[in-house]
Amino acid sequence: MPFKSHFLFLSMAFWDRKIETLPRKELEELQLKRLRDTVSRCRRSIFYKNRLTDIEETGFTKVEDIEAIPFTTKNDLRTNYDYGLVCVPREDIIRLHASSGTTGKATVIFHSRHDIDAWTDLLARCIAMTGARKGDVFQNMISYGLFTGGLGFHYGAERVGMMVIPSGIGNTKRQIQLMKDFHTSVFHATPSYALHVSEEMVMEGFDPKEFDLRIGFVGAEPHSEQTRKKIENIYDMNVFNSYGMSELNGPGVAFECEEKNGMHFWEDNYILEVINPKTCERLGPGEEGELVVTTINRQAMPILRYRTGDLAKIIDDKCPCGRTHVKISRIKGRCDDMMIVRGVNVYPSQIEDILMAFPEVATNYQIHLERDGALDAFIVKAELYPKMFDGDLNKLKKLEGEIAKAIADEVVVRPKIQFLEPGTLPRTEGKAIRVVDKRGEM
Amino acid sequence: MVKQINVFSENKPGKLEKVTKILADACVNLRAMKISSSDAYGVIKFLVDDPEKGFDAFKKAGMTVSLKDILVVEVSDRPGALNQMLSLLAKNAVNIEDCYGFVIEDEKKAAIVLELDDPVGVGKLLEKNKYTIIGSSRLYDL
Repeated sequence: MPFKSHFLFLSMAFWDRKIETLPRKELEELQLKRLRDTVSRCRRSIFYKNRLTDIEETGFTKVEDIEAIPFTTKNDLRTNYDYGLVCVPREDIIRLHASSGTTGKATVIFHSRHDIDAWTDLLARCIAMTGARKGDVFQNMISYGLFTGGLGFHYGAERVGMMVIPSGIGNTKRQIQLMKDFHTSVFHATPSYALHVSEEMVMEGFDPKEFDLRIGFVGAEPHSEQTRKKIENIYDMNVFNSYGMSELNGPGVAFECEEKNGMHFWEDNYILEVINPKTCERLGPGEEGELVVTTINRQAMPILRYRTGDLAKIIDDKCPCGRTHVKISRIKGRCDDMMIVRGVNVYPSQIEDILMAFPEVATNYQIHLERDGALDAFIVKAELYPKMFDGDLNKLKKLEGEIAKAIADEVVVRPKIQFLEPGTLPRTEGKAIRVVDKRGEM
Repeated sequence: MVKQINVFSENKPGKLEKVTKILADACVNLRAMKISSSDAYGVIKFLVDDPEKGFDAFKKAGMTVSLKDILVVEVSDRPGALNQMLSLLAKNAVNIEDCYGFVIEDEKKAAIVLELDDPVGVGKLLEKNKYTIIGSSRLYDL
């Protein structure tokens, strides 16, 4: 078997060593300066002009003074559609992106040349941090267009100097062909699509391990540690988690280093706060809450104290990689992802973590909630992994019980497990639909 | 060893039709079949004239499928014959996971298909007791 040269390149790779390892004190001074500048800049927008009348940013002496500023919500972005938050003349805008929101009006984000340049640099940082570098072949298997994942990574990868294949998402057979013919060594995909591609490879008689892939970037969907391990094992590659959202540029807000223990949040470009989403009280390191983020290096459309809706916590340790920027945990879910099942709070990520630990279960699953009399019917549908099927119905029934018990141990409520044939659940080309809640319809 | 094709299938209208169409299109002929089902899904079991070919056809169609070694025992086509064979297995504490049968018309015999943990060992036990085990070449040529 040909040797894959993962570890050869996994040496300390800094894109911008100075800024990535800036001592905390200097980093905070930079944040404070940029925060003041950003608040002043925001006054040029219609939306912030009236909102900031009580704020005196020149008096800010520490980053925490940010707490005087009111939050900005997704709804603020919607109601100030189209140019309400823009702080530069219209002709200085060189790009528009829109969020993937499926309900209501899209949220639109504008970028100046400076913004695109700074964003590209952040992605170059993220990419270089994983060991990917000039000479790698990078297949960007994610939506281009209004969605930020495609172009964001595309620009960053080019800046690093990789050969970029802008394959976009879908047409899986062609993806595999490209990977084979051009020896793709790095890819970017949603976790669900990365797994889908591997299934298709197996169907076509290929072993995913035999490709030249060594590094994968996965993001745009919350996913579990088990899912990462599954992708790593299937392809025999290193997989890195990525965090971002279009309101904050897109990918490149936070990214894993080679330690794979939390994502470095680029604090020279963002100020991060974690709050209790109900009381809005500020939380300390290790406490799980909603991420609130301020952009401090954006010209066209800075956003102050944005309520991301994403739940995570700050990992409070000194990273062996030497970077000083704070780390956040894997995103547990969104505040609005939480399901209440028979009175208990359940996050899809908890279910996913358990499912992916069972090798018999393939990569696609769905949680169904239905009304069953007075009770909630809690059904977890999971596709089987064909290679693990030995034709024994009793074993499957036993496995159902084991999975249901493992889930009940974690989230208290016990689901009914239902196995599906591979390929039964809809394959979305964007974000996977993990929860189908029909309780309101009955 | 005789091989049976086990296909994982959800319980849905038209499912069996789709599954058997795969065999039909591959020109694989059925000897016998059985469905073991448990509410939302089940396992469809096929005994065919060319199991490898059938298995490949299912795999190509993206089905979740496996091949399983099974035991096919010949018994005479008369009342009590099956029971006699089973009492031998019971005496030897053999656990049967699944069992079905079909008649070999030309020969006035019946073939009993047994799914077991240890088909090889049980096959030896039956042969020692004068039972004929139907091997693959005979079964596939029926």
